[in-house]
Amino acid sequence: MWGRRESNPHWRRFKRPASADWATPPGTRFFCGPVIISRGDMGGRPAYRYAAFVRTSRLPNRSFIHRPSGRTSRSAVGFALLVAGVIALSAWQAQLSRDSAGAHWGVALVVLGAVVSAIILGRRRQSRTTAAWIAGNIRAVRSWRSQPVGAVISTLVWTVVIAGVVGWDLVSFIYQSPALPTLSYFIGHVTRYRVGRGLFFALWLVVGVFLVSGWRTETPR
Amino acid sequence: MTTFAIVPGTVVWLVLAGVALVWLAVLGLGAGALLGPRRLLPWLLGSWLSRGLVIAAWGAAGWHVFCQRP
Repeated sequence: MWGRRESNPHWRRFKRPASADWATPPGTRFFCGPVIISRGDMGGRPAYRYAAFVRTSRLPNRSFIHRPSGRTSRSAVGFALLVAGVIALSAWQAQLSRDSAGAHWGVALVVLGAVVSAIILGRRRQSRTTAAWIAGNIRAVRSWRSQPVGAVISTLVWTVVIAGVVGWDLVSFIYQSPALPTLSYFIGHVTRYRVGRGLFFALWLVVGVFLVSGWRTETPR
Repeated sequence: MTTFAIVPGTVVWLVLAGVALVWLAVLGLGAGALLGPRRLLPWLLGSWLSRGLVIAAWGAAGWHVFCQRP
């Protein structure tokens, strides 16, 4: 009936939007080649169905968004090597006493390696600049009345817990009194045994790995 | 077997441990409005300054525990 445009009364009433505002929400970027779509508020990890975020999609039905952090065989090998290294180092440290040169050199080299790794891994991958981080915190503290109650309570409790542990440990360390044992005094009762020293060293290494590599931006800035 | 004498400092540590455990239990019960470790850690590692301070504290703690303490 309305096979021809000229005879169709609805022609141009439902106009297709211009390409700029067609299925392209703010903050979404498209690249050629492997599909990379970045949006700051996506969060989460590997592959997302495009349609989960954008209803009107130009991509084929079975398309996926592949974020660059997908677990590859190379990263699996790296992870296995990391685990093997943690186990080997911990087993070696378990045999050492706190006074031995090996223990001193081992810990010193691990700390040095952590600092160097943090610098290399973190180059252009730190989520915020220091100035922006400080400014954001100051802004949040100043506007605490407008913050959600849960966030204010959480901040207060975390501050009390962390400041309490660090402060009391510092006080106990300064006084060096048998009536005021430090946290490391209790830990020392575990690390004096080989198994305890090895397990604590492994825990310390794992924490270090997270501190060095965790929570980086996935694409360099 | 390792035993600890209950001295004033130990009592303070027990109170701190209790507070921390209760707080973690409250967070674990699913109080969604509260900020748990999953939001605390990204904040703490969110800048070079804070990450550097945390790594420095980690290194100092390791040296103290594994090279100075029994």
